[in-house]
Amino acid sequence: MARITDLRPVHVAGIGLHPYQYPTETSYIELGLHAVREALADAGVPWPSVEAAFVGTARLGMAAGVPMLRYLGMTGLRVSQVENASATGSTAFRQAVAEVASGLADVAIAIGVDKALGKIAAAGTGITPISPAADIPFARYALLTERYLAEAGYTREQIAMVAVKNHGNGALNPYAQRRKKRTLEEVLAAPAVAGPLNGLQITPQGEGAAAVIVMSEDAIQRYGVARDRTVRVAASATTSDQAFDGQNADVALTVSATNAAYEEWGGDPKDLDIVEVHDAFAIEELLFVEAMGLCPPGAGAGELAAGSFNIGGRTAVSPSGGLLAMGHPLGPTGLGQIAEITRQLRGEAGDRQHPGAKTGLAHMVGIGPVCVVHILER
Amino acid sequence: MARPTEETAPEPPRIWEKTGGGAVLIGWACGQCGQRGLPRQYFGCERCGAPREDISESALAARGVLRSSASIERHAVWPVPFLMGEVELDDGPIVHSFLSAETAWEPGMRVAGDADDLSREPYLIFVLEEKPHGTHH
Ligand SMILES: [Zn+2]
Repeated sequence: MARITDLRPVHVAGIGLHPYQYPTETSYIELGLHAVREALADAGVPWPSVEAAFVGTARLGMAAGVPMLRYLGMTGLRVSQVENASATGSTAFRQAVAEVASGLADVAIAIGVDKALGKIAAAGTGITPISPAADIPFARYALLTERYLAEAGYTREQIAMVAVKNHGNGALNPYAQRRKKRTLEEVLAAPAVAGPLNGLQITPQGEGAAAVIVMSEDAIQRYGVARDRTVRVAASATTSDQAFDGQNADVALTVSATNAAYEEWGGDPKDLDIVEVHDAFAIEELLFVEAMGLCPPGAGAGELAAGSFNIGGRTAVSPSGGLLAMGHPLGPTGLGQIAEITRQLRGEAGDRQHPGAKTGLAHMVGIGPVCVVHILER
Repeated sequence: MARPTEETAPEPPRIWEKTGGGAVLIGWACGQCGQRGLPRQYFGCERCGAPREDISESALAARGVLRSSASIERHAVWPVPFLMGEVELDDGPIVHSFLSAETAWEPGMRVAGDADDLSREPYLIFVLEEKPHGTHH
């Protein structure tokens, strides 16, 4: 079976974002168009050059795409809507990359846009859960955090340090929903939500938009896109639940998806300069950096404390601020990660630039569970 | 434990039953591969994909080992705080459910859905398992 990179090369050529923010009355059309126009200007290509659009939204409901994109001029491009829970934007990106890799298009765009609306499909399954309060994600993660604290011997302070780092990164990101540096004392003192998790260690509800334009080599030449600002897609991997016997499914999926991505890329996880992780809850960053091989199991908190995952450390983990600080509006989130990695690899990340960044990995898990991983390289 | 008010309490679903041998959870079993799971469903087997004809209702003992507990301090429907527990059932599946507030919990403790408590509560609540009175267990 072919991998995306066995087909023709695909490059990220343009990125755009509407800053993530707390819910407002702003139309999703305005959020989405802002990101698309910024991405077009960034790539330096006109809207009619885009042949296919994949619109990622988890909460808007059906038919979000054309009613938004028509205001860029009705060019008749192919439009599809993509939904994959938290991994919606990541999956829209994969679809756009596949469209160009396969030769179906030379220029495609992935757009993530969401507002804090709607509900998940679980309401329509007809399955009654064991406990009505057990299915809320923060209860699940509180139980996981308590177990991890006991099993790995970690302290609440060590887990809170994830939030301290990511709030610090978010403070430097003009697109982040939370832009305030926080001390360990502030993170620990935030209002309790569940177990050791509190308001500053859980991603906020929000809205926003992100857009990424991908192109073939041909299109980059044809439109005269600056080569030193394009970033190659080096791997694309996605998996869904196959865990039994009490494994944490998100961790198991992260192992299998990142291993598949490393094999496709041909590199070692320790050589990654940038990693953007699904850190909806602070505990997740430690679980996932260990699962993806950035450090041995149980070593995550020590590496974090030693500064290995800071901007300027060995691997900058979530320099955008991650889901904890940049935010997690769902549809845009995975594309916001691609935008951040692209910005870092271009050397255009300003105050939060990780020196010499050449490779980056974007990781999202979503309800299902599903996991989507991409590796970008200069 | 905290109870929801009349207005907020949803209709109690049939997820457990009281039996002579203690409370059981109603789950499913696959006639092809033997996989069992919770909660009950009739759509097909998660392990081997056997169709609904092969899926039957299966009672799993509501007893096992506590893996983790957490106090929930914020919730849209249920009065807070309340305790949730992650329990590995003796019959295999791992479940998350309410946990009695009357015990100082530690991972590894034995828990059971108390039949008497269950008959008053609409939802499953795990309590400390009572030591068996007989000579066998
Ligand atoms: Zn089966």
